[in-house]
Amino acid sequence: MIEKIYVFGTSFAEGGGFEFNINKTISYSYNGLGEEYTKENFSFPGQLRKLLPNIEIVNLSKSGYGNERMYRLASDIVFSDNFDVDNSLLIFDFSHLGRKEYFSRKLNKHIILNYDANSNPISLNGVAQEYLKTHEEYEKDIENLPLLDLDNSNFFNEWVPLTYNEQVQHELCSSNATIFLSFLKNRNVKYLFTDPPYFINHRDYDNLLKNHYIKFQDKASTHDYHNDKTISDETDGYHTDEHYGLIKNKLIASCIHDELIKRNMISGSKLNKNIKDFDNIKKIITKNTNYLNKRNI
Amino acid sequence: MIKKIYTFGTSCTAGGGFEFDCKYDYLTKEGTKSGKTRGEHIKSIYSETPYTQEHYSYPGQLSDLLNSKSYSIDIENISKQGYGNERIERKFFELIHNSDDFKKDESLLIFEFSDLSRKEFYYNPLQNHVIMNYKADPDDKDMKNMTIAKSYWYDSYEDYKTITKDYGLFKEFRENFISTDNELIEVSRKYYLFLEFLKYNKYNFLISAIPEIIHPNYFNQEDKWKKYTIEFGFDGHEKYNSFNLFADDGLTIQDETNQAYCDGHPSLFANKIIAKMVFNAMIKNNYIEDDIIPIPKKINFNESFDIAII
Repeated sequence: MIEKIYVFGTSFAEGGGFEFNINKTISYSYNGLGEEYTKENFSFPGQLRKLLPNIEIVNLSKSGYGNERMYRLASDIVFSDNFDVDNSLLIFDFSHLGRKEYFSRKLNKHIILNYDANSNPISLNGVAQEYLKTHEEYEKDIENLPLLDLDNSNFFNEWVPLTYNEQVQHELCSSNATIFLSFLKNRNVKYLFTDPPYFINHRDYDNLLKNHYIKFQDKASTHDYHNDKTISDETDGYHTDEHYGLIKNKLIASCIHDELIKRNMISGSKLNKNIKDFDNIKKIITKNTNYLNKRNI
Repeated sequence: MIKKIYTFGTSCTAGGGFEFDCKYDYLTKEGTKSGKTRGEHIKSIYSETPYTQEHYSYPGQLSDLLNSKSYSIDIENISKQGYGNERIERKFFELIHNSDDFKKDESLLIFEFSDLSRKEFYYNPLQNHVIMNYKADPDDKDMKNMTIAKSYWYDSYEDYKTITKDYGLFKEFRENFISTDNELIEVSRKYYLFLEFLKYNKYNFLISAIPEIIHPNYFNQEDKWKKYTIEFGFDGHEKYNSFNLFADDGLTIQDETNQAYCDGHPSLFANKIIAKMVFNAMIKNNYIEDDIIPIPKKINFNESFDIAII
């Protein structure tokens, strides 16, 4: 039986959009639901924690970062002598091309570069140590980052066009995922995907991917599941944010719960939740949002 | 039944030092031009033919050894001087994904893994990968000691000019984004991940050289891979987990030529012995059935030469 779940992913697993410390009006929209106003609680791992109170859930997701960070953290956990392979589950929310991690000597930390992989010439979306901070924190962050000025980075503007090749990057992305998942298989580590690595070589599909999907109704990825249930949708456009809304995160959590039961990883009964089960929550959010609109807040 | 051997590695596997086709000036020990190219200088010292880097490498010598014993085993040497583990993984995936000839069960892969100090980049102006070799010291104090090449000893003047134009940017990268400690963590972690990948996917493989330094975070992994690691050493003498360290013990080219040609790579003699040790490892790991070849008693050129050649 599973006793500990690790979740690795990007902003979608971290609870992106629910930065209550930056935008206080988000808490107004979600008032009266009895939910703790933290990003962690509003994320799907946070909601899963409520469904599985006896299981330790460690959410190691981070906004803006990608697969390189996931491999780093997850492999170090598995390599550790303390890792309990029999009673642990790893859940992965893979990102796509467009994120490249660098290690800053000045900060002695990793930083992340986001870029548009499909643009030609390649366009950069910024470098950060941490995304989704307050404006003041962001400005301070930029001051500390190496080679950056406030209107973005001269270094990366030259470096990326010099060294980026989409095919090379795609192949690297694919081989890194193959190596990492093979490592987990070799160690008999239990793992599942909330968003699978579509970029992996088709020859490895059966071996590394096939039996590791979570069923979100008929979808294999949380992105495709209720894709009209973003924070923007949920708040009727009051908050413009394309991250998952609270109801979607509750649905994702219940799908994961049911999947774990189906796989005999936990005991209990399936929840079989659907969107209608959360109509009451939607009504409260709508009521809050109407009030905010009316008061012009 | 093994029908093909693929060797992956750096200059030590590629036959480093034996760049017979190199057109660069050969510089004397004093750093002056000798009037000969590097290739001409090497040819003036060695007589064994063919004059190819491949023949003088240990995989080339292993190929000769297998042929002499009537084995039908081809060797493809995918090594390249200056490059490291990033290229090894890249070339490995190119092989298994793109080559119709590759047959997993009939192939033996032999890996010489590199250490720190090497960082690979795709470089658009040359539409190719280039390699940065830098000085890795724990405090990262030496930022000046850094070279970039597409192919050491063979880059054209145009290649050199192009890379030189962007040298400043590579230097900025080195100064800001390469931390020796972090690189050691990365090299160590990726090394073990790759070994686990090979094992899980049931590739036949041996290790001819392990990374010289492993980060303490990963010390707990070392013992698991001993059975894949070839031991190099003379009978009754110190054993090494890396053939290049074995050669470093008095069997380099400069030792073999008594300083007539100053190069620190394994000598031709060392590569012949190394080939025999790899052959014996193939027997011990049941990839071939044969009698173990006796390894000669310890030889150290430095002790054997009484008089300098030049």
